[in-house]
Amino acid sequence: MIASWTELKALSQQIIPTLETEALHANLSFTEAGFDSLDTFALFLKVEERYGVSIPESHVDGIKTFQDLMNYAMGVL
Amino acid sequence: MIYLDSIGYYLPESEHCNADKMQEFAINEAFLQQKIGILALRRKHSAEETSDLCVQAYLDLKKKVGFTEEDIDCLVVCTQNPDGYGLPHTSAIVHEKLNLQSSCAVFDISLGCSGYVYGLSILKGFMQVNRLQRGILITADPYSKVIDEIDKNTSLLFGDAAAATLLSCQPANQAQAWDIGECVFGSDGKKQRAIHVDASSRKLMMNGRDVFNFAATVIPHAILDSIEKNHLHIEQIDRFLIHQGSQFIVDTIQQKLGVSKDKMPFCAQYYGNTVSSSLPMLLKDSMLQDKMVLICGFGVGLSWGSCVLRRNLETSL
Repeated sequence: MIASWTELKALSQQIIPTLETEALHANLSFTEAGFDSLDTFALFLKVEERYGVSIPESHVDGIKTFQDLMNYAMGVL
Repeated sequence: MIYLDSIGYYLPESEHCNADKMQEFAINEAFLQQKIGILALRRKHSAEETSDLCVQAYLDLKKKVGFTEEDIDCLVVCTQNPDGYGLPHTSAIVHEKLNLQSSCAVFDISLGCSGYVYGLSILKGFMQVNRLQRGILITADPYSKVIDEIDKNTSLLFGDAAAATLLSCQPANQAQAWDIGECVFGSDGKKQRAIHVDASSRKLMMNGRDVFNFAATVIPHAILDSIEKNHLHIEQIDRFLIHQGSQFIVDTIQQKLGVSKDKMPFCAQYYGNTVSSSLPMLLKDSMLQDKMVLICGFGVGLSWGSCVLRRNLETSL
């Protein structure tokens, strides 16, 4: 399944309902977008459930931006 | 019939304020209040043993119900932080400290945050099989024995407490007593290291992401299974009392199930995650008008247990 930026923004907004998705861009880090560590866990889980992928602990440190996460979901990383 | 009659509890006096650690752990007030949700923790005195916490909870229960030691047929202690090295079992030490009669059976069970539901089921079954009249389940798991105070993952969460729950064939107040319904249990041994005590440091380790994923994916299904097993619908449950792991975990499960926040409260702001005492600490304060309450404990193992408690408020002896 192909992960789209629009869909990832929608999933992100489910985690932080006040998130301004217009101001969001894919190369922002989760921290820069206002995600704390628990929000990031929750977003990873949303992506795992939506795209049927598993993000192992060993890869978590390498996924810092929304683009990294999309790449992972699409099997690029 | 065996009922959940009354609950006594004990919180150590020493209070630790989590706001004092915000700078050290580089967290802000919003994270502390909205995600962790725990503003203060209780810590036992270093000289206090697990059995001392048990005794204090027992004495609070005794004050509420008014039984004598001769009335108690069995006593179970649920802990993974026992007195000394766990031999003898902590319940035997409690037996001595309370001067219980020699015919009173005592034993320990080793479970963490799911322990209250397991403990209720074990004790109820033990009492039924052996035709016992009164039994007490004590939960006392002082994690301060194994907490690494500089570990952000655990030191802001876990607090010390103990609770003593009386199961009785003849409850003092029939209308307020709970009938313990059918339970569901489960374990995911593949994730057993998600919460463990490290062999060399003797300190608690927790993989927060594994625990979060477990709570967010497995527990909502366990709750729904429990409702179905009791032939109920989710709308019939007055209150969902679930393990108080953190505000974020409770909120996540509440949102997944689509129930209102007041139906699934978070009440551990001033004492923290008290492991197997988490559920009785909630249940003792359960709304007087609630007739149907679902309880669900989950954590170490990773394991879970859930059941429905019912009471008939119109009943009077």
